Amino acid sequence: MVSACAPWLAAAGLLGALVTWNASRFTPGLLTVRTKDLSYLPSPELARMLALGQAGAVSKLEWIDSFAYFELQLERKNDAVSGGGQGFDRLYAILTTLDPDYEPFYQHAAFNIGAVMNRHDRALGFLLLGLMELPHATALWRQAAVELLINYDYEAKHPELMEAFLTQWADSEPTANDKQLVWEWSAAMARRRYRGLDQLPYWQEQLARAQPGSSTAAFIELTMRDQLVRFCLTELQALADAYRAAHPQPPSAVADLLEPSLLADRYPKNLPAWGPFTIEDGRLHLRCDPYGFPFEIRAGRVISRGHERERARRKLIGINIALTDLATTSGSWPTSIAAIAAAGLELSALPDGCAYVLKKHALEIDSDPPPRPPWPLGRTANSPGAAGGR
Amino acid sequence: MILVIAGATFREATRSRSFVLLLTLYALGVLLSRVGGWISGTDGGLITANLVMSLQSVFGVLVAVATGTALVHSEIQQKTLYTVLSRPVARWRFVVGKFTGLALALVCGQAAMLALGVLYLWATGGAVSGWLAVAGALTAMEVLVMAAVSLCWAAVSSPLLATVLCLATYALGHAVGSLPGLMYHLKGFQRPLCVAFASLVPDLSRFAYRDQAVHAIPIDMGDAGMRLVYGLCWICLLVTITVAVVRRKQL
Repeated sequence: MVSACAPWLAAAGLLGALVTWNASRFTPGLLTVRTKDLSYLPSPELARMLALGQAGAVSKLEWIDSFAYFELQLERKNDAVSGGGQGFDRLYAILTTLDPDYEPFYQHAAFNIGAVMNRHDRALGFLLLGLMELPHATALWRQAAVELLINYDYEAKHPELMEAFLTQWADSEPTANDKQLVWEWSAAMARRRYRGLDQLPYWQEQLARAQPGSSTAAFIELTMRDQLVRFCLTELQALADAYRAAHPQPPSAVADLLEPSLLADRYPKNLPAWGPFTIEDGRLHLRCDPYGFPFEIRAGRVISRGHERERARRKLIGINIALTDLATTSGSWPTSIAAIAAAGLELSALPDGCAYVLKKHALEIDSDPPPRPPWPLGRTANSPGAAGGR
Repeated sequence: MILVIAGATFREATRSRSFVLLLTLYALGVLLSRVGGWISGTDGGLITANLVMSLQSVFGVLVAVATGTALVHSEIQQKTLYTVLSRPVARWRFVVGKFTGLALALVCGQAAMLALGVLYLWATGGAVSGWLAVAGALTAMEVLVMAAVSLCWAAVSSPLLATVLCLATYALGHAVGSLPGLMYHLKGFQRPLCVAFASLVPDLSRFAYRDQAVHAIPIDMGDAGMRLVYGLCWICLLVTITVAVVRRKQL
């Protein structure tokens, strides 16, 4: 019996020992960074031959294997390989030859060769190669456009070529919505020059998805109006400061800020989309603020009445919490605004046209309606002339 | 009589250990293929599909070579061949029957592999499209051509040597597909010489539609049909050669 079981017992013991030995390599403290050399990589044609009909699978496995090389280059930043040439160039030439339809190869090539190794010409080359193979790959179009915009400054140096590139991108997109996204992307890149509006495309998308009239939509609209009004105030204040530098007196009204020389200095190319200006009947006008109230200048500072009302409304939440605390400690609710003030609760001053009212046990702000409709915030309204009243 | 031999060969092939073992290994490989997708940092669906389709080809060819090379040799070794040939059965019928049975077993194996692979891809959220079935059919034809190659090599050499020669033929068969891209390296007489040698090998790259199928890139059905006809032509040629060799063989 024992002799019959002995080989099996010996095998089980050895198997256990070997499994433990193998598993010991994966102990976290012992893991080391794997380095990789790509000097062995053959030419793309030879690689295809050596793949023995399994080009797709071989390319993916080689790609996964090369991740270690990528990690190494993050530190070393020198991908020269023996036999001449660059490791990443050789790697991605092989991968894109073995499976020209796999989009991540082109994306990784552009990232590793462009962002890591700083060879943006080669990175752009791989992206354009990818676009030839996959003309509807939105991510590749976007990445190529970013390369042209950021590293080649195409918008400034060759605006007509950049425009042609974007048109080509829009043409390649299959649906009208996708084509629209190209122009929104373009507008978003342009808006990056104006601080504070970077998130606007995101909120626009959220607004398009939200149920009209829902609390979500209301929240999104408030967020967008807040970002827009801050941007408008920044721009108008900059113009007001410029006005003051150019003239002996500060501007007496916001209409003074529409002085052509000031606008030309601040916006040498074109007026910002979503800015506080609009062109109607061929003339430049100042828009109302995003809430529908006119901008004003007080003591040299540009203010938005709509923004001030919104800030007051936000403060109201804290005041109502304090009011509840007051009622809890005193054992009774104040019956008038004067009683609230008498109880020691500080009520901040309200903008013109607003007044506190006590409804049941909550303080609210009663205000007159805006003289003009608030800015529309939908996707079609992102041109200066399309939105809001003057 | 051909059908009787084919039926017996089919049963023998499907019951053979190498057949069942390789199918089991294929199933294990399919299960592990998802790991490649996980490591890649992408959603991994395409990578898993690539690996699954390649496994079908590689294991299919291994099954064809392992079973095909042992087919006639085991008959001789077990002396069952003499029982068959002592009857009024022409040798060509014996060879054709053997290949038909083997081909039937391999087609069943390929269908099972494809079904398992596609089911696994579907279950794991991988890239599944109808084109995978077309790719699977072309891979099955590749495997049948390799079965004919193994039968032919087994007829002229020992099983071990035939296995080595089969694997070399498989490598060459895929390599010749890439040859046109490398022709610019050759000069003078090298070119026609290379073309002549390459033309003697079945171009297995014609059956490698799997990479495009994974990306759901359509194939023209006429083109797919021509590829199948190309495979059938090679099978006919190789079986005919095998018949010719076996007819002259001293058993």
